[in-house]
Amino acid sequence: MTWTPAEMMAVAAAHEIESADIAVVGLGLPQIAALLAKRTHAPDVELVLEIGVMGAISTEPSVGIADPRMWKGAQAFGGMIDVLGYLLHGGRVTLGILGALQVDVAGSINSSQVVQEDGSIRRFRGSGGANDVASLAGRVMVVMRHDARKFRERVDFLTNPGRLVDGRPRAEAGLQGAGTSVIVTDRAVLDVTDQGLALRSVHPGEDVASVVAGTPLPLAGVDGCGETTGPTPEELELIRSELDPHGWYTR
Amino acid sequence: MLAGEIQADEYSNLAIVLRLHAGALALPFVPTRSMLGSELLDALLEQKDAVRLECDPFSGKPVVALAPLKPDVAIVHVDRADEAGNAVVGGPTWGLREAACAARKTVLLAEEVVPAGSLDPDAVTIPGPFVSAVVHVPRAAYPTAAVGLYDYDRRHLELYVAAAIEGGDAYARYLDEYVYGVDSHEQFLERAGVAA
Repeated sequence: MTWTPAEMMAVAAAHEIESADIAVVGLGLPQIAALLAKRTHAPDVELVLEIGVMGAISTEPSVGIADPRMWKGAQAFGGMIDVLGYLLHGGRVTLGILGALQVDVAGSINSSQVVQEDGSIRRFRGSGGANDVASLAGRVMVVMRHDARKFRERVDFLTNPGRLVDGRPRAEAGLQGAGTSVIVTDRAVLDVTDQGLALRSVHPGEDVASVVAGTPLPLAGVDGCGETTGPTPEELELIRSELDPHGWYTR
Repeated sequence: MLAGEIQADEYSNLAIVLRLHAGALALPFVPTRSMLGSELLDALLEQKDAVRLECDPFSGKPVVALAPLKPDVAIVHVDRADEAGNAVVGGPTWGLREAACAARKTVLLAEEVVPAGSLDPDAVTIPGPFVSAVVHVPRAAYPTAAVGLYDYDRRHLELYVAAAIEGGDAYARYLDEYVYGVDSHEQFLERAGVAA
């Protein structure tokens, strides 16, 4: 049985989601991971979209959060004030799933802009509701490719706060929830603690030393590092036939 | 600001909706825990009449104070409106209700206009008292989608994205062809090859 690194990333991310979670989900890999969890080990997980879609989220491939295909099967429609306000600011959202251009040792996220080698700035999509999720959710999972350039001592722009703010516990800064608790990549699972990053497991077929070499930040837990549980045939079949049939995100 | 200039500030999605909410209620400000400890907030704090970092009088912790936002005009796309301005929006409502209720003037672009009082009141998303004008514009969301009415036009969106990525002359040509070169939405639809 073989799988792509992105399929492995989706499966590892899905395994972080629990049936009791209320999760704010974005398009792409986070959506695939959330739907995979709901269809397998976490049938009762409540998935919501920041624009006001609540209840089941469609498995139909969508080009953006404004694509009505993504809202099919929803149980309730509201607005941003319902999802980002009453649910998230109100403290009911237990899990946020976010992508990242860059992360730092505290799990702070840059989703705004990257300083390129020639010093110029390249703009990306920015916060949207990501800052709200990082500021307010019970815990946050970052899902991103394991590219050495994405692990930073300091992110180029701090769009979304992590566990610490200027090295101090985030609660002192007035933030709610625990912040980034885990980073799932296409090579490994890293826990984010108040002391920094800890390598929890590397994916099947990955070499610990090679993952460490590809992560230019201090890593705890390297000696006791385990192997991530690989995909089951059922999980791969769900991804390939239903959740991402065109392979937009996982091939 | 000079005429023809646009100032753009980046807020989190919740923060901008909360500013509209405060505007609709004419609140002096609304507090939030969102955006604390971020460079998004650092940038916004330069707008001293809009965003402040304050101390929660009860807990003593930092809190963001957002000033009310009352847009001069809100232009809102709706599926159906009656002649009194009551309107039905299909699907999630994003920040539409907050924008419609906060703005000094709210203009609806309605796919369909029906006689006053003929909508199911349970289904009304934006109530008539907030609405200044209703404009009947079929396919108003084109080239994006209106849920249950029509799909997005992938070919035209790709055309736009390609021009936007290339920038410069390619983007100017797109604007000349489809924005500045047409007098109405109907003419835009015609040029894009779709029937209203």
